[in-house]
Amino acid sequence: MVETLVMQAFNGISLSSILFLAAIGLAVTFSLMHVINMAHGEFIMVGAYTAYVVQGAFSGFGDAFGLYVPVAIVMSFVVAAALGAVVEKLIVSRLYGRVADSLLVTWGLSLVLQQLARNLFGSANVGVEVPSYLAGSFEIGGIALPYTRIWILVIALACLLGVYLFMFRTRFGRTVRAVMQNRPMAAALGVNTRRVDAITFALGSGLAGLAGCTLTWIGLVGSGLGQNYITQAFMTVVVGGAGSVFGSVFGAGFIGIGQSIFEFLTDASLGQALIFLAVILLLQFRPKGIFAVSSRSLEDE
Amino acid sequence: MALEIQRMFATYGEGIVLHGVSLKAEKGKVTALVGRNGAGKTTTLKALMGLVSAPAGQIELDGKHLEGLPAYERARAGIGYVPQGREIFPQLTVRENLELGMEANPSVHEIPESLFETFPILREFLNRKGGDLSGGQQQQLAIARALVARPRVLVLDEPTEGIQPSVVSEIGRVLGQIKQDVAVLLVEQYLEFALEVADDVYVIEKGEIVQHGAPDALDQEALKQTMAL
Repeated sequence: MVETLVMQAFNGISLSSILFLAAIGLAVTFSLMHVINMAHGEFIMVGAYTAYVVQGAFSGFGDAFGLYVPVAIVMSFVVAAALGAVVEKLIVSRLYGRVADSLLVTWGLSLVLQQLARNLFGSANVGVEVPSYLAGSFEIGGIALPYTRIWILVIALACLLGVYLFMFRTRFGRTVRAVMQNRPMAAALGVNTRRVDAITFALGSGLAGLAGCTLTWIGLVGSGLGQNYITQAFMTVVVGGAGSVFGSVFGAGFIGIGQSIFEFLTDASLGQALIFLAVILLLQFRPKGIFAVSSRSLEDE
Repeated sequence: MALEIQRMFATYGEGIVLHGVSLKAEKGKVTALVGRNGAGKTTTLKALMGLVSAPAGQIELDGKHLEGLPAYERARAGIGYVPQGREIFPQLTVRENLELGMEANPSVHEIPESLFETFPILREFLNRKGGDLSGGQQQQLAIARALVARPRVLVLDEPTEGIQPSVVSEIGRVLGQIKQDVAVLLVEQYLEFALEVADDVYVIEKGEIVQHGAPDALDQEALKQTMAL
């Protein structure tokens, strides 16, 4: 019983770490640009397929096959970020402040990207081989913690640290926070807000791609992969509060661990329904999320 | 150094708010734009900064035309802006607020020491959140933030609004000091203060300049009527 509970809690933390990676880009871009990006899940999918392709390229490398992991991590980030930059430039930049329009247009983009993935990789799901050093599990007190899930947790923590340092210790992070708080004033101080938007959107997309890469080690890759996580990613943003790094951590923990506990106590379907209910109740008391960032651009509208 | 606005029109939605405003601010002078509430003072500064639509008119800063440029390029051209209500970034520290001021001038890599001599309170509160400062301290921060990038012209929108008298006279002293280095354009509804610190005054009414001259050369009767309208 205790072992199962600990195992379930660990799975919850693992899910939370993936949700954090998936949601942080959404949290920042919504707060920054007031755009709802329904295609964000497809950046997860792009990251996952990138990892699949990189793994395939390393398949003939014999003993060096395991080296695909760091390459896949970097490439999934880079490819998703590059796609994010293109999408921002061609589509999203024309939709700033138009929430409903952005939702519809990016939903359409999401369908296009899914179909493109089916055309390129087929409609059947594909698997990514886990390297030998990530196979197996870490045994402690009769509880087996899979190395893959520990590895995902390490990646998420490293990203959290990276995002924190980027946002709070760099000049560019300072301008991102300023634009989030008061866009016209940031511009009047010489900040090129459009450039901030574009770079931030690309970085958020890259992190979603990284989330996709980590998902390949715990499940199959398909064109609908992002759709499985986009709802939870949005819930993470809503619970944590748009624009807040710490809010994304809290939201991801709330959804990930909460869902695992509810699923443990009931079953998979009821568990998901209960976490939805918990989010609805929480929003009655904190409509802007737990760590809402005060934003003039959001309040004005 | 001189800023010249010529025949500037500005709109809010369908309505025209400025009807051909022209004025000039030069280094060595504090130029004030006074008028009652809703006369178009703040809109003039927002149009100057590119924050509201100004479909007609010219803005020239030391020979460079700024009309049509986005706000950030106007700031980089040398306009330091202190908006109405201060608009400091409440969740950023005083240091971060000041460092943001550097965005307008890539050659400035650190907060000039002279700013802390002018506003010593800011040094004391460097690591405090901007939102935790008093109104007067926030106003000093907003002015310092605009000066970090060594602008050619400093424009201030009602810097005395909601500020205690001791800080108001301090702001007057600072404006008198910095006008030696930059042109100062001051928008003010507090007439006594404006007439005391300004060398040149424009009076605006319903989006049009109705008087211009040195403070003691203005038609005082007409000025009183304008301000009381």
